Amino acid sequence: MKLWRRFRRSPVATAALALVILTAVVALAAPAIAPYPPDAIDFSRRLLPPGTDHLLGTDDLGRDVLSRMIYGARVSLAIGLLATALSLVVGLFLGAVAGYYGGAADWIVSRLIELVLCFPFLVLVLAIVALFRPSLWTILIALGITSWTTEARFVRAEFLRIRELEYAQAARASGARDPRIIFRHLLPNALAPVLVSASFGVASAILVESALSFLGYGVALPTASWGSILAVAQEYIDFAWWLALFPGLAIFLTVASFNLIGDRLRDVLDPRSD
Amino acid sequence: MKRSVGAWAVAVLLVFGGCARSEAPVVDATLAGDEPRAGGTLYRRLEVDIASLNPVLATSRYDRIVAVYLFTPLIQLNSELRPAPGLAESWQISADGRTYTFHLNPRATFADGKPVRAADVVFTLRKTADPEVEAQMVAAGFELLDLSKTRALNDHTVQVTFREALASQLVQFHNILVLPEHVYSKGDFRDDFNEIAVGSGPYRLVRIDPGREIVVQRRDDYWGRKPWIETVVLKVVINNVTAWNAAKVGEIDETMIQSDVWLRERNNRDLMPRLEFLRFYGLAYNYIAWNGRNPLFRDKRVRRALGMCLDVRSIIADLYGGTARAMNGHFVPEQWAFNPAVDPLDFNPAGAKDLLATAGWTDSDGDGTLDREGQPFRFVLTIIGGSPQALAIAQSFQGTLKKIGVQAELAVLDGAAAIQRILAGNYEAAYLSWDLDPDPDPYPLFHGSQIPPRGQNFVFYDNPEANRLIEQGRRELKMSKRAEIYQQLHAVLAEDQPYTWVTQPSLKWVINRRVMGVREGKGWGLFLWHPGELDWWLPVPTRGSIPIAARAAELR
Amino acid sequence: MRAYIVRRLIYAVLTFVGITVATFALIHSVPGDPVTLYSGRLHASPAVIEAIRREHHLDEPLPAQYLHWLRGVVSLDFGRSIDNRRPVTAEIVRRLPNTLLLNGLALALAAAIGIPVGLWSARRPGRLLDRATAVTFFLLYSLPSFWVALLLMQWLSVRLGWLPLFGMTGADYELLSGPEKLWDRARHLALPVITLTYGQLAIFARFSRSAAYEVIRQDFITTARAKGVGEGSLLWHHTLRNALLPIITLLGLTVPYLISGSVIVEEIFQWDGIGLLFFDSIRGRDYPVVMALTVVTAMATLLASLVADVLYAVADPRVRVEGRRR
Repeated sequence: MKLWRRFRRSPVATAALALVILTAVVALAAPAIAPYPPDAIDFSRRLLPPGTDHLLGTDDLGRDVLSRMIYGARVSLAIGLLATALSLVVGLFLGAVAGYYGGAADWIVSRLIELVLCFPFLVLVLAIVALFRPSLWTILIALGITSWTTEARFVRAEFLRIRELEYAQAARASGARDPRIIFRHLLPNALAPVLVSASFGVASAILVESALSFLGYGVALPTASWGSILAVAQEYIDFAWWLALFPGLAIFLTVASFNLIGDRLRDVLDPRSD
Repeated sequence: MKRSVGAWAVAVLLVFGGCARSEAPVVDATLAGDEPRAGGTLYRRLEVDIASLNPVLATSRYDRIVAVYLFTPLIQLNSELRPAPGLAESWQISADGRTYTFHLNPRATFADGKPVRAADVVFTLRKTADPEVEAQMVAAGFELLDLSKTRALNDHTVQVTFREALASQLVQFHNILVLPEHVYSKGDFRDDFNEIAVGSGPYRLVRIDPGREIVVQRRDDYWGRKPWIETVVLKVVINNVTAWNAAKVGEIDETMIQSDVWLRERNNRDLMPRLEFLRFYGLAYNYIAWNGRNPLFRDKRVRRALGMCLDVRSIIADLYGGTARAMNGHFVPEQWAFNPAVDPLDFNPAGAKDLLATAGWTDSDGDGTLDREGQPFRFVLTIIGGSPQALAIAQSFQGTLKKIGVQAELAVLDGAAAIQRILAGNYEAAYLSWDLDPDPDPYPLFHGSQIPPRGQNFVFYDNPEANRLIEQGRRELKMSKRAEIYQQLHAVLAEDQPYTWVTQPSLKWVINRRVMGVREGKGWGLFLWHPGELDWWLPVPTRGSIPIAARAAELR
Repeated sequence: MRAYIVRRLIYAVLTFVGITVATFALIHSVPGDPVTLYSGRLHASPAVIEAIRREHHLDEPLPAQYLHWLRGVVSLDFGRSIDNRRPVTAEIVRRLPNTLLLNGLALALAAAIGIPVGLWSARRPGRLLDRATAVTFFLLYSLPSFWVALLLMQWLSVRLGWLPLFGMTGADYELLSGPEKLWDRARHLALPVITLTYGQLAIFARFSRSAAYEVIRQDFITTARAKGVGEGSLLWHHTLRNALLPIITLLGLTVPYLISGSVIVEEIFQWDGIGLLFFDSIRGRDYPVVMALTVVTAMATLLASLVADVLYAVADPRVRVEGRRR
């Protein structure tokens, strides 16, 4: 609660949080809100500019852009959250193992981190997605297995620090088992920086998903995603500005919100700040 | 190394009916009363980077756009795509059709001033036919070459013999761009001649900047009729939107454009004074390939029913704005092999459902999806990413199929993955397109012997009657008879529906009005036929030095 | 100290081999075959296909292929592209300056703006100016670069015609005089550099702010301030000098990024660089090119982090102790 009170002190971050919640509500209630089915194709209504029938215009297949954006929020949020969750699980696990056990485990994890970091990030994700069949799951997995390094490093460093502290030593002395020590005692203490990096992680995952869709390696058609609308917009940018403007704006606002939330969380959770 | 995009783009184009330079004279841009003049610099677009300037190593048709300027083929193809004199002034074909005797133009010289000799032709043929040279585009036409009987009879006469006579062989000599032996025999043929060019063409190479541009300049000592334009700059512009914008601002003089750009901008008053919009039908079409090995598609009634779910009329009217043709069968109207009596399939989902019912597919468990013997009707339709039109058509098709209870999942793959799977027969259905050769022989596509991994019959089509017609057609040397055979074949293919033929889209081009003398040939459009682009001219030596508006007024 | 460096070097080599094996296994295990991909080869006769496979050793088992490749790398020969048979090394050398120029400029610009702003806002943390710049930079950081590139192209190049659309030089570049050439290049660089720069401002500002913040909180600054040293002098002389090491480290760690290039920006602006080559070679399954680029970027990353670590170890003896403990 104290956290929330401190978080709330930044109007920008609060607005960002509100926006994220709004997006989430829209995504969840998509079937109720969307004025049209997202995949109702009508070639005779192609590329109509925004108007009373179609508030944000139609795309190259005559589908309602607003409806597709509403459904697209599902894809963006799902990929952002799930990919981050996946990378958290991997990162926490590997980081915890490395930091707690040290020695060979630490050595292996450190090499693994180095290995992943040696690739340019987007190239690595792109390679995995392009090489296998692009779909929601490939993207999730590609993001999950490439972006866990930050979390792992945080957790490892934190564990290295706190495992020598008294309460961890005490827990070990009282005969607690390793998993118990890790999960009950060490992990909660390492969570703060992880929470911050997770918030940035969601932003980055959303951005990467839209970039992949933009390059033509997005979720399976006819599923709508913001990036895939933008990819089409590239082809029609001369006369269909609405295809470029609205989904780009949606990506920007959502990504910015998560980044601002993360930034605020960092300030709030950092005992040295404020 | 933009080449891989390039190649990928070619694959995409191939598959999406982008790319055959096509034809159907719609407008003649030559303006009566204007006198052609020499000079000027033309800026052309290359959709793909050129892997090698060595024409034997060509990997796509784009290579030919450059090669036309630098080399001369043994025979040219004229605006009707019929053989015409090239480096060879004339030729004879032996009675058995296996031996060709070419008489070279005695005045012909290479860019280094040396005369073109019969030995150079033999050299080029040997390189082409040698598998180790890896002549991927042109070698296939010379697989049957009998090298022991291919030789120079004298300095200007070549005799070429094939082990078997095929009707398509003469046209293949269009791909023999003759190289000077005294240059290309020194060094590694595959590696040392990729960025230099010595040919007998009307231009010489000035500069090649890989991935960016190639500059050629008119030869003063050219032995044939000199072209008008002094310098041609071929700029690599891969992205279509970028190319269109570059054409709008005058950075390039011509480019292929997308249907939607054509539909929207053709009547744009601001652009009309500067840009001319052209459209023509090429030797290309889009189709859906059904894997005939898959139990779902073995029954031709099923293939026909699925084809009836493709709303071709709406696709043509709304997606292409009326600039495409419905088709049914392998040949297009620009070919003499085309059979005009074959009608396209009607769009009729209800009829399709009935037809599927007679083939045993009904919704017996009431789950909304057709089934037979407990198997639901679902399949994966593979599409190569990159063409909005293909994605649009596939998604519309998917929607209609869903309504009659057939579940199609769309898999958008990149060129590498898709083409490998399809050529190996490892797919269910695929949205593709063909870019057809000037000779209509469909042997590699539909003959029963050409199933993967041998040929490109990846629909596993094997009909004895079609096989017989295909074999007859490729051996019949008399054209009228050959046409008759292919027209029969056309009807057989339409009956069997190994593909669902989608459309023959017309190709759209935009060309700067300062370029004069542009004419259209049948099937290849603005260039690559002879004389084609070699007849273009520019009214002023440098662009921009005449007020464009003034010129536009002149034109009206 | 020497033992530490040697150990780090051994790790680097191990990681390097791991990367090449992993990449090799990955690209060879997925669907897609470079030999059947290229459209020209749709027409190719089986004998020609066979010859292409043989030339690139694709007809051999994977371990043998890897050894072939490794043997080449040891003698600094990355082979030839399967796609166009150009020597891979020459192709990378040809494109590297393009990517270095673009990314170097963007990086320099971002550092030149971001670092002073970060240092400045560290002076008065929490003030309006600090917060405003932080939020602005964060918003910029969140702008998808492909969207910005599209909008900028549409607006500045198509609508207004101020800047060229794409490419690295204009159509008549060869005919220009020296200064005109420079101007032409600058105009072509403008949009891609802008697109690459704005997102990095936040990183530099953030990083230098916190580095400076750490320093400011330390005793000697407080002492200096107490002694009446002016704020400007305080910031530039005392703070910057001490915050410099982490900032230089950050710059060092961006070196690999300089080399690997940006796929999206190079693709949109048709910048003939390494990023585009990476993208193309992945799409085209051009194994030798993918492998060579992997090696180059991995080497750069490993070297950069090695140098950074060693420098740290030299500067800070505690690192050595920790290093030994590992």
